[in-house]
Amino acid sequence: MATQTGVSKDQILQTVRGYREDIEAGVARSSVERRFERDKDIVRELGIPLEAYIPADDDGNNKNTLYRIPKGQYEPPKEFVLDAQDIRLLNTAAAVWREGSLSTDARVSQTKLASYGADINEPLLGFLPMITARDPALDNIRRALADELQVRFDYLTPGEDTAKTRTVSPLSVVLHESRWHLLSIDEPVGQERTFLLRRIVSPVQILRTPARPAQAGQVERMSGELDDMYWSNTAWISVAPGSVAWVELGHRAGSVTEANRVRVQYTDAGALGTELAAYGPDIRGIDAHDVAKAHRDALSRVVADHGG
Amino acid sequence: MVANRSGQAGENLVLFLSLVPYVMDRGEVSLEEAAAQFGRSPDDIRKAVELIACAGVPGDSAAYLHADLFDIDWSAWESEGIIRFENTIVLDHQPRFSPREIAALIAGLQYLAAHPRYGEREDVQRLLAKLRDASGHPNGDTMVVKSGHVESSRGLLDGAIGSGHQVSFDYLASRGDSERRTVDPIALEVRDGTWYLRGWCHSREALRVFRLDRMNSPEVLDAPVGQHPDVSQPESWKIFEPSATDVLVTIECEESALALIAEYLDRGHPPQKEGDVYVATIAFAHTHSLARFIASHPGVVRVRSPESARLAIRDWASAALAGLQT
Repeated sequence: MATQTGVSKDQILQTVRGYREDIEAGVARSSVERRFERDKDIVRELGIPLEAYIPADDDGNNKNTLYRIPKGQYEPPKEFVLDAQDIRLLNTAAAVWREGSLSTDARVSQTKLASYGADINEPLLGFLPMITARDPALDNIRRALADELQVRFDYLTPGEDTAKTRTVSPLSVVLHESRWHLLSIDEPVGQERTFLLRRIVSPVQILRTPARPAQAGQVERMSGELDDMYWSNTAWISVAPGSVAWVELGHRAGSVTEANRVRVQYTDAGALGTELAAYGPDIRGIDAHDVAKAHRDALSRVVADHGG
Repeated sequence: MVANRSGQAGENLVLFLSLVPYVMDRGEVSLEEAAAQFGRSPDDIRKAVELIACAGVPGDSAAYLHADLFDIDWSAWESEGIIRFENTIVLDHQPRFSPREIAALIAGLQYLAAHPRYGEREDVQRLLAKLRDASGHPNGDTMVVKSGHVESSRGLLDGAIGSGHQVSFDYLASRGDSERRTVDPIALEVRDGTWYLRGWCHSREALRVFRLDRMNSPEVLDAPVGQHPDVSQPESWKIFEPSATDVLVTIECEESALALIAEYLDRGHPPQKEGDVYVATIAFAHTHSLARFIASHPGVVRVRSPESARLAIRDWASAALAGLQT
């Protein structure tokens, strides 16, 4: 790519393999152009800055738009220098991501890291860290975060029958207790709100409206509140002594184990209720009302779904 | 969802652009060297080079690279598989990371730092600061991984892996039977915040995965560990090991649940769409693990067949409800 002069869309469509063949095969120009637009976005998402510009001598007709990769935006900033140890660490950090679009991003990062020429493999003796937690809403929220745009989605609050449409400025996605959360500002009212991605029941729509930026320390404080919530919510769970539930619940952070019950800390009553349902008959009773209700609802749903 | 073809071409473009500074530094690089450095097959490298560098203006992607700038020594490439550039290349630097990549790298480093081997390292903290400066989000990370509880047994197991000693512990299997196990510890795995030990189980004479939260009274033994196959690649070893006694169950789920249950799905046999739902066949070791799976996704995942499994789940959930103190 000529970094100084650039090339026009016409040149691209007529010469670049893939487009050229489609055009020669008689595919409608409009559909080839649509693909070109999509591909531009993909290239930009991969971190390759593709710039469209109109030459100075243009007559105002943007048919003359040229595309180029400006060298200055392509290279890392001057002060961003990685040494061999950094490269190995980043390669290991990228390898954490095992699923979905995150693993694609990770692969792209690893390719870029390899280009530094250093040996990128850190001997990971006996330690295998990985994150596989996925959520269908995650991709678009991450896109919106990167582009600093607002998002809209339908959200089902526990205990309510119908989902409500929400418009928010995303601030961060947080994996807490193995569940993805969205920290955000409710628009247009400007109130802070945290959503559980699992309760988003529609596709996440990325709006054109710019998102409100996070205030200094806001993400840290809001994600800290998830931890605070965990430590302030307590439920006693009666369990079959010696059962899987008894042992696993007893190993949660802050749990207190007695002969036939365990006191657990939790962030979200609905999520804990569902988690407890997975232990089946090992769970004998729950003293927190909202957890107990979510637990019962989950089990009743399973019974109903399997021939009641 | 991005079309596969475009996504693949985009990745090829990144691979090619990343090859440039690597090749420039060395003057020339063989196909095999490039494949080893980038952890790809020689075929992947060949595709990237030919797609992008062929045909004047390159490849099957949105790479609008001017021909002159990527002029490869074609005779060296074709006869010896050597990559060498003939002209000065303007885009000769390593490509920068996208905002999404930086966010994922920061979160990945945070996750590593949950392990004392990394968390106490100054270079990890320095690198985090460097990434945050480059992220364009000075007021907070756009992706955060909170590391969960760390088992007290982790330090002991990590020490035994380092020193090559056997360990023993009381272990509660999924079906609820507890017994003392003696294990050659091979690796600690932390998957979505849950810690596992991978090791060679002496009582089963097989490789096994143990949850740390089902272990009690662990101790390090004097006996050294034996020789075991390399398990440094996580893919080499799934949490779930298929066996002949597995029960094959056909489940149906909503589209929205596919991502949540992705780990259970057989990549070789993707779920089939039938009307509004997706149908997949999954192997489970026993009814307990099936029940746990279904009840973790109430209302979005259902057993369709066999009839015996469907009824077993119904009875299991009914028993759970009936057993509740009121």
